[in-house]
Amino acid sequence: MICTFSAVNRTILQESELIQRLQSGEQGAFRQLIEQHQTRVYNTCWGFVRNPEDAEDLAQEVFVEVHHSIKGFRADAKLSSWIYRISVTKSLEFLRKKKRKKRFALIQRITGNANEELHPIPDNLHPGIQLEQKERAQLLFAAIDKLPDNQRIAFTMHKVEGLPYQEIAEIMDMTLSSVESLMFRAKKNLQKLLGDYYRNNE
Amino acid sequence: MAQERSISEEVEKTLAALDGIAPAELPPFFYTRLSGRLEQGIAKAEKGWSVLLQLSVAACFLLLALNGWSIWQMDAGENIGAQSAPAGVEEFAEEYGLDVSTTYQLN
Repeated sequence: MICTFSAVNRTILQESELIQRLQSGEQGAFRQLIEQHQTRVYNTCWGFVRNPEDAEDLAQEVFVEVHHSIKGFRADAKLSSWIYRISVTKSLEFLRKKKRKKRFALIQRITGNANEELHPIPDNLHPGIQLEQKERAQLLFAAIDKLPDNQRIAFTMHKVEGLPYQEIAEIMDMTLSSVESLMFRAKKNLQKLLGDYYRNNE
Repeated sequence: MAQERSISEEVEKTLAALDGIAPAELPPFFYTRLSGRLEQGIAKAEKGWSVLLQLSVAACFLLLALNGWSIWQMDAGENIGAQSAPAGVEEFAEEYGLDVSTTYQLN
């Protein structure tokens, strides 16, 4: 127990030291930060945009934003939570822009978006997905896209990045019970969407 | 009933499709590309500031020049005005028939 406590303390100390070095503009500290978080930031972005080029572009944007705003960072949240919050915000902004562009398309204007049927996403699939699960994963991603933003964020972070509820709560600035409730509703909605899909495509 | 059960099984299997997903590998040279982007951004920002500075200095000089020119114009105008004012008034009075000095002379 003491050992765990001192390990946590050491981590906090290391993080506050890293923040200080970052705020004083030390390049080595920035590189260290990137090395620590790049894979998770990339995967967070990937979970939302599902395209390697866009995910990399967004991951770069996230670190550029971190570089510009680190001086104003107050250590009232964990550095990692702050970085992942930026990743989620950037990814959602990107998706909203993409959606706005799509709205101009004639077909979208005619059919509307609300009652649109579920179609498996033809995008590049996450490279970590096993081949035999590919089809199901495409369908699941299409269903995730139909969820309200908060449910989509929580579900993607938990399922794609494997983050525990507690960490999702910190990133989303919510209580643990709110995240649990979001996950419950997300699962219910997904069950309904997928159920409808299988009933219509039998 | 059996159909509903099969649908529900399919749904559960699909919901579990992302279980145990391995993290995606970051493309190589990510840091190099990011550094390039950052440097580009800094260079752009610096260039932006230097252009802004140049524009402000140019605007200051322009304002000073305009001020100088308007002061010079005012001086010149006053000089011309001082020399030609009486003639101008006489001309004006003549043109509008205002050369009468008192109202009694009207009758």
